[in-house]
Amino acid sequence: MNGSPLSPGEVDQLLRELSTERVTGAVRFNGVASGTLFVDRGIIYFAAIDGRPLTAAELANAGIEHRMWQEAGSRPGARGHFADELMALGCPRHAIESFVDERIVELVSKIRTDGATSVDRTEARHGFGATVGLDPLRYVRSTVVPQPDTLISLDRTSAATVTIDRVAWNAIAELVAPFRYAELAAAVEHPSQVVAALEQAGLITTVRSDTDGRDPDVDRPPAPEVGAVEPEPGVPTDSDLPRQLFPDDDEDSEEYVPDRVGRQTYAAIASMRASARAAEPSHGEKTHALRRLIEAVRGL
Amino acid sequence: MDNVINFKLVVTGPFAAGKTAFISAVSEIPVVSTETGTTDGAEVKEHTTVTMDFGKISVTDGDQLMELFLFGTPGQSRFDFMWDILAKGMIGYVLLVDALRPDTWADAADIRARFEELRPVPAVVAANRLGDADPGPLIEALGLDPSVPVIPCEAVDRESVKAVLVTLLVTVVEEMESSAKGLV
Repeated sequence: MNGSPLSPGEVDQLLRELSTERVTGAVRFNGVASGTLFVDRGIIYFAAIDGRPLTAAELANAGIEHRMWQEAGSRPGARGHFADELMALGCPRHAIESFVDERIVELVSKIRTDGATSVDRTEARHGFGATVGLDPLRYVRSTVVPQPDTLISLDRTSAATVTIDRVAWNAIAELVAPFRYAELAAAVEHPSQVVAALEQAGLITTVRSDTDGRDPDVDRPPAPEVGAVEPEPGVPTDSDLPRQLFPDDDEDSEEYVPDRVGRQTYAAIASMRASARAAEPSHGEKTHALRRLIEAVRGL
Repeated sequence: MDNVINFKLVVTGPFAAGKTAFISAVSEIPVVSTETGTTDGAEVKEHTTVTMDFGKISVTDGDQLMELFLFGTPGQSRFDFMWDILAKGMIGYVLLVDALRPDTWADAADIRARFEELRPVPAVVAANRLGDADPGPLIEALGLDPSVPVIPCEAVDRESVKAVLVTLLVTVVEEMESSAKGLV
């Protein structure tokens, strides 16, 4: 690398290559945004983000219980198989997937927006283990973000309808069309999704710029700032698997949860997560509940 | 309500297979969806869902609330990134296929392969508008294992949709009980 920050396009190309070349090892990004992606046969299974220690809210948002996390870390054989240990303790696979995905997406977003000046590849593996992961090729395909100076015009003759949240609506109503994508990005939380929905509906047209400018779009809220976490003495750890969490962290904080699926649907997902956090139902409870639901469906 | 148990079912299938109607037929809440005019297959329908559908069925037993969430996947391939999110935590899925549109069966086969890769859980195939026709060609096109139920369905008919869901839920319970016995 020549010291110039990676462009979003270069980051995306690198991610595609991780998948197509079925890379195994670690990809270290250095610069304003720094961290490491851990890859196993083309699937990213963990992201270590410099200066971004784990928080209780992060675990809670993913539906992982604190006690499970700590207990998994204290079990012999946890190194290299931490995710497996979590699942053996009853942590739902989908919660672990959610936790892993969120970190990966956060690091990649930071690199895309803040930039990294160099990339190193090593054979390192992460103690979390490659039980779950994210396909970088599919992720790149789903998250193409417009350039900041993309021009957006409104099609006032279209009769189509689309649902967007009130913040996005207010922002669009206040901007003077045609406006730049960067203006919308400054006002809403997930501008690329808003643009994609409106464009799909035929309610806006966009004129992409040919310039390869840095994209200021940050589709994720900033991580909460917390202090350093000290690993428990005597417990073998990998550098990014702290065993002790801040007891004062607000478990119910919604601040960090990305709103990728719409508020009503997220409310349903949050309900499911809350249910998972409270106590994993026993097998008997689940089958009983399903049988009751079968009766309920029959009775509709 | 202190005790809540919820489950997620996914309703998936090709574009314009009837997913929105399917969920709407049984949901106790208005199905959350986004509809817009589309240029994809404009000759097929005027509106298409560009984000997910969401419906719910619930029952209360004393202080125990049991909820069944129905998530419908977006029909267009450009939204397939949502499938990963929707598939997480699902206990089973319905693959809804329009029996009168063989041109969509290859898509349905791809979707099934994708979901099997994402999460191998019980599934049923609901053949929308099959009527009394022979399901053989559809079964062959989807490359289905004989153990996968193929159920004739009318997505707009509540009784028909109920039958599909009951079949799927019974299969889920049977698999759960078999798994539990296997662990003993």
